Amino acid sequence: MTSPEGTKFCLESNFIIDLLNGKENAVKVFEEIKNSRLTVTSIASMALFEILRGQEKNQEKVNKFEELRKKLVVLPFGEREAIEASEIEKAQKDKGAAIHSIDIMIGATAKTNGAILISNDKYYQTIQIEGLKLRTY
Amino acid sequence: MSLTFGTYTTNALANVLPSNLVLPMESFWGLDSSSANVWPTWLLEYPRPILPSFSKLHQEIFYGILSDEEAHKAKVELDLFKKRFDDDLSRRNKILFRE
Repeated sequence: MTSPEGTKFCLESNFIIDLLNGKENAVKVFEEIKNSRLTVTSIASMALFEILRGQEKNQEKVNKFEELRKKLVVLPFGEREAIEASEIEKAQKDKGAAIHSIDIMIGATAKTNGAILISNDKYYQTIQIEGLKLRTY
Repeated sequence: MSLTFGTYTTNALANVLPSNLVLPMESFWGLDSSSANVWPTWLLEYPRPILPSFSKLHQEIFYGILSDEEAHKAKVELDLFKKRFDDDLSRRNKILFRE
């Protein structure tokens, strides 16, 4: 089964690591969505790609990694995303839930841009951001 | 036990080839009528090669480029990055908003 091309997906950092690691579940989901619009948040991009680039010395691997990078559109963290993130954070504080700022910023970016966030991170399942579409793998 | 030429040629394929290489004749029973039986029996029984699937041939080149150890290390560094980010933001909030 493949997803419609108009659907937008936002790949979370751990999903990308699992994909690069060849984890069966991650590969299966990627095969399903790869013809859709694929995105990554600027925050995840900054965190993940700098880590991987800094860690990897093998040029062939770096080139292969760039093949994935070229498929992803980076979603910026702008004013709309900041407002959404602050609202989510306030709602979580009111509920007395733990605050993971960076995850909230990633969730807010995916939600604001109408993208389905692909993540197995338990935090998103726990806090349940209203209006955020989450896909686990 | 004595083998005749006839029993040897009749049983040899089934005895030697793995069972998944011999096509079951049941698949072709529908063709075995006088009007449809245009293929010689040896052609129907000949083992078909197993080809890799199209999707396997077109797998993305970045699948599996990280070893388990490298993936684990990347996840640990990512968690550290998130923690540092959260701690730093919390520290700034305390300074700015006296939270």
